[in-house]
Amino acid sequence: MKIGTRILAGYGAALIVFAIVSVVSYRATSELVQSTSAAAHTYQVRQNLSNILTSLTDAETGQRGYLLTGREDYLDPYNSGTRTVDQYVQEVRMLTSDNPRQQTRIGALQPLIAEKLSLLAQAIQLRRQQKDKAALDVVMTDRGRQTMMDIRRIVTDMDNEENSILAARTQRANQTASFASQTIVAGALASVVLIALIALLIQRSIVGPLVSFMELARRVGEGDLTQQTKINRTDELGELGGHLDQMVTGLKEVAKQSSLVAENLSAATVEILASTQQQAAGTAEQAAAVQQANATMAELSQSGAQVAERAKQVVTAAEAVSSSSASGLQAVRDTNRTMEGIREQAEAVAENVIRLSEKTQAVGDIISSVNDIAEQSHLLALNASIQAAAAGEHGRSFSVVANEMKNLAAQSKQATVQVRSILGEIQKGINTSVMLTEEAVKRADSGRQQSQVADRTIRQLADNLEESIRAFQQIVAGSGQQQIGFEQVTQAFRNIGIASQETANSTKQSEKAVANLSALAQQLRGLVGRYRV
Amino acid sequence: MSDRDLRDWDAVRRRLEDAEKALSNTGTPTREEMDRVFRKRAEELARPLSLLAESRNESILVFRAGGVRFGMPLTHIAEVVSNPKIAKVPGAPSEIAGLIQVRGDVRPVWNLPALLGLNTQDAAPSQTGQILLLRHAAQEIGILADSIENTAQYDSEKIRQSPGNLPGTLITDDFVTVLDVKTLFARFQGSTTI
Repeated sequence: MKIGTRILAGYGAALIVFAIVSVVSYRATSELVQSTSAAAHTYQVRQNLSNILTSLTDAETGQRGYLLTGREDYLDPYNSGTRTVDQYVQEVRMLTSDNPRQQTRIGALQPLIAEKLSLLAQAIQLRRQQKDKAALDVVMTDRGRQTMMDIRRIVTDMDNEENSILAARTQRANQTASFASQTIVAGALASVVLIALIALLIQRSIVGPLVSFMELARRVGEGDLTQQTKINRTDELGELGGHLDQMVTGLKEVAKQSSLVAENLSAATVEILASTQQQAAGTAEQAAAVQQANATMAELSQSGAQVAERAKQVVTAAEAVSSSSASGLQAVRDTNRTMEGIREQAEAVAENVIRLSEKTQAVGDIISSVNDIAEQSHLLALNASIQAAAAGEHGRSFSVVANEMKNLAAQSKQATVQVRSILGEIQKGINTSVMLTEEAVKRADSGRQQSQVADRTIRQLADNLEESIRAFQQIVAGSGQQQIGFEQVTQAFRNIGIASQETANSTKQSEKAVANLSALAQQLRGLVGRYRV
Repeated sequence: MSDRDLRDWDAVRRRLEDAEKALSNTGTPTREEMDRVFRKRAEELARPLSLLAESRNESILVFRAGGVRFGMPLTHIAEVVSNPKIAKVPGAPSEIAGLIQVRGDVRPVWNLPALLGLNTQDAAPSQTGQILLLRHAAQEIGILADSIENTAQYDSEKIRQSPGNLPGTLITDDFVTVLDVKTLFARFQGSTTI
């Protein structure tokens, strides 16, 4: 449970006790007030009851006086008594309206009073009429006295009733008051005990840990970072202890790091010192190197002039190459045109060869008809031979001619066969020629393409050459600027010499600064050494 | 390289010229050729008749029919007709190939292999070819031949009776079956009358 919650719970308990005590006191007080007012009420009722009796007595007294004296002035008490008695009766009825027993008694009282008053009035009336005897008889009947006794009895009952009510109320009020006083005493005691308990609780749960925290803080202040709070709680103080532990751990880390830093700083200072000394040595070497560089610059300047001369020569040579590449380009273009011509002629050759082939076909047709003629001739010769044979001896010479004709026809037929085979060979030759011509056309075409490639190549070459010429011209122009540049560089080296002198001076200052830094590192190490980790 | 090319082209031109010359010379026979032809003809004509009679040679026409070479004496042949239209006769026996028309006259055509009872490779006789018109006893009859080869001479002394029942003789030199027209006609008459 958190401390805040605990304190709140303690005060809450005290408050509850206080509230109980207050409620009880209030109730007792209001009871007392009520019973006091009830007592007053009772006294008022009793006063009125006694007033009723007094008024009736007054009225009787006045009646008696008048009866005795007959003088009207003796009737004054009677008049005032009859006048006030009704008023007192009404008041009692009103005051006891919450008590039904008293109301019935009043109900019984009222006719008795009326009877008494009417008897009195009767006696007075008779006396006034000078009938003294009758009046006295009225008194002597004893009814008046009896009525009066009844009235007194009822009034006494009512008085007793009121008295007993008052006594009961008073007793209850006394009981309440005693309970209230007991409660107040017990509440006060409980409050005291509770507050004492809370105080003890606060002391135990807050002050104890605070003291140990204080001890820890004192030790940390002295430089002891080895301590921890050793508190294992879940409340605010537990959290505070955890934060304190973290703080101590952090401080420990800082101290360790600082110590490390101080040592590193020392080492670094030593290194800086060493490097500063090296720098001093380096500055001296630099001065020597600048001297050498100056000499080298002079040589460079000389060789730059030579480069410019060479570049001029190269430009002249390149211009010659450029003009010859132009003529090469022209030659390649001529080649291209010639190739185109070769291609066209080869195509014409192919056309001619094809026409020859067609002619061969015509020759073939002619050979066919010759063959036909030969066959017909053969048949004719055959029939002629037959006719010659039929003619017998006379047809002998004719048979010889017919035989010759037959032989000729056979020879013609053979010749046509030969011609046909030769024509076949010619056709083959023509086919080969066409194929060769096609190949030639293709070669001419590829030659043309190659010459176009050559054209492009030479043009590129010419472009490259022009670029080279421009580049070399720029070199020639640039070498003049180079000379100026070399002089500027020489000047720069002189400036470097001055600067290295200045560097030597500042290196001495650096050495001093490093010595200061070393002292500071020593101080830091001393400071960090205070902490035990 | 260009020199060699030029030389080659010269050779080509020369060859072309030669070819042209040769072409223009053909068509007109040389004098020697003509002399040779004339001499041969004169020798042929000058041969004495007795020599011819002694030789007892007879001219025949050699032709092919049904894959067999036949010979027919020229004296029995009236004419050779090339590729006539052969009209088939419905209901005719297989020996008769059909009818042909020669200068207005109608002649029957025999199917020679069927007539001789040969086992020919093609059962149906070819409907085209040359037709030999045979003449015998005032009758003219055609024989269908696949092709006509030539005329030839044969010595009648060297003829033997052919084997089997073929009506003819065999020349030993080049195996030509020379047909006897008389036997052939008789056979035809027999086969058709049966």
